[in-house]
Amino acid sequence: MAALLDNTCHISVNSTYVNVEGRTEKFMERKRSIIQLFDVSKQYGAGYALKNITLSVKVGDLVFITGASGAGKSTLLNLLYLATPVTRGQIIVGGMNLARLSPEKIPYLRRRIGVIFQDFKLISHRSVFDNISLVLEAAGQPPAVIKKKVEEVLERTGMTEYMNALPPSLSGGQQQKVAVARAVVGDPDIILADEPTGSLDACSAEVITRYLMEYKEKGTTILIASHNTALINSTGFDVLYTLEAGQLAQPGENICAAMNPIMGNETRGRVS
Amino acid sequence: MRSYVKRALENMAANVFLTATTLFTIALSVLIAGAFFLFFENAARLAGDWNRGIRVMAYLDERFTPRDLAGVTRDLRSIEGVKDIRFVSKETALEQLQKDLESSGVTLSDLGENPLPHTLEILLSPSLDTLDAVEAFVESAGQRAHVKEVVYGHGWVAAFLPMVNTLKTGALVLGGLFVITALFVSANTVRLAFYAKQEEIEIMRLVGATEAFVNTPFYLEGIFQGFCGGSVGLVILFFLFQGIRGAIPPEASLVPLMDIQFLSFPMMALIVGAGIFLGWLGCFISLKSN
Repeated sequence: MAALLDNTCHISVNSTYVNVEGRTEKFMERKRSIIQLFDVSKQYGAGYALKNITLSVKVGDLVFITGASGAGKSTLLNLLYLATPVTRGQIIVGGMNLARLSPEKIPYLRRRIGVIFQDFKLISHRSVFDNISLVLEAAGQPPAVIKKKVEEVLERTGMTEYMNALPPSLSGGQQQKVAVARAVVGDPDIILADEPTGSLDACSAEVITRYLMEYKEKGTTILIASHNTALINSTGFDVLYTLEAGQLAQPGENICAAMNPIMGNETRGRVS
Repeated sequence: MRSYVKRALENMAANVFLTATTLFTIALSVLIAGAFFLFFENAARLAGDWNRGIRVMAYLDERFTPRDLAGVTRDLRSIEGVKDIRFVSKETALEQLQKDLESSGVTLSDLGENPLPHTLEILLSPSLDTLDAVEAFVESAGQRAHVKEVVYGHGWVAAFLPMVNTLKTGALVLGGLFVITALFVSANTVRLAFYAKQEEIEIMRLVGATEAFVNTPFYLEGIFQGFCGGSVGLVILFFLFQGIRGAIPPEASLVPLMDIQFLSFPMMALIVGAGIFLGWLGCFISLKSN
């Protein structure tokens, strides 16, 4: 936490660390956006879960979305893979305008996005292996490829010995690892993670975090919704957005804004 | 396709109770509807026999000689509604009787003189399809030369005809109602079973599965359950039918009304097909409303 509040933060863009003062913009221009939100609002009944959100995420960035419970972090992620439709505004993901995406195209959008759900969303009567392989089966991959890839992610997440187990027989942490494995097995362009280490002990959280960072190194864009400052601290970030009551917080309104130099309503940097 | 079949089988194995409930409901629906069809088919067959024409026996008097045959036949043919006339001599009739009684051990050799009369077997046209018309024919034929007595051989069946016709209509109406009820019950059961899988479907969609990928195994499952349910219902119906037929004394089966037969092959195929349709329909409704 002390590190988070350190005012001598550095920016991380493509693993290049420089002093923040006055130099951030230059690095932002180097990469194209993979996610863009223009004045996006999401309404449930009379209330707004998100209001007038405009932001963009560049290819290969590690982006954190923070905020208190109910601030709209999960809703923001849900909008990106069309789990829920937007009420107003435009969202462009990987060049696809989600408002104009036909229902037949939605599966193809989702195959480019690996989602780590907060509640894991594992099929209880299917084995760990089958839960993970579902992504590749749905994408029409041949059985041999499916087997190889699933075994690989199981090994990387330390879940090989549980490959035949059913999710209800696993601990919360183990289920979360399965959820992570399923999210990455299809080599997605974007990983959306909703509290990805929420159910993990410190050691497992580190394993998973390191694993996710490997995907970032490969150029995968990662959006993590979390209020876990330890996680943010351990990974660093390219961009950090803070949500407050469905709106992006303005500079100086929160701890994250206070800890770093600001560009508009986003914070770029890495805890040094 | 193999992976779809595999997933459908896995789904059923994972939800044994739901699968069994669905299968049982479809089987029961098919059994009830099938029982009506069984009745309907037998009633229709009886009605069909009836419609092929009624046979009337005209017993000729003692003065009749085969030389008179042409005249008598011509006379009878002049009455409207005659389709065919066959002469059965008293000798042929006796032979036939002896043959019929052979199994019961009765012998007619001690009889001496043949007591049976010469007979004309008259097949009436199907156009005489009411009791009144048949009775009018019998009365008219009875007044012709050499005709001693006209026996309306199927008279007792005729008494059943209105009842059979009423039952046939009733069976159609009730059968229709049962089929509709069966349709709703089965489709609803499949739907309930389907709701248990809603979460799974949602997850599949979220990880990028197309509608075809999500739906195909469920349709296969519904069709398979429908096929099994239909077949099981039919097998139960067959055993029930055998039990009922076994309870009828063999002699009674000589009476046309008691000679019941199981469903024809096309009807069995139709019933199993209906089971498959029920399974498919349940899935279709569930997936459409999902």
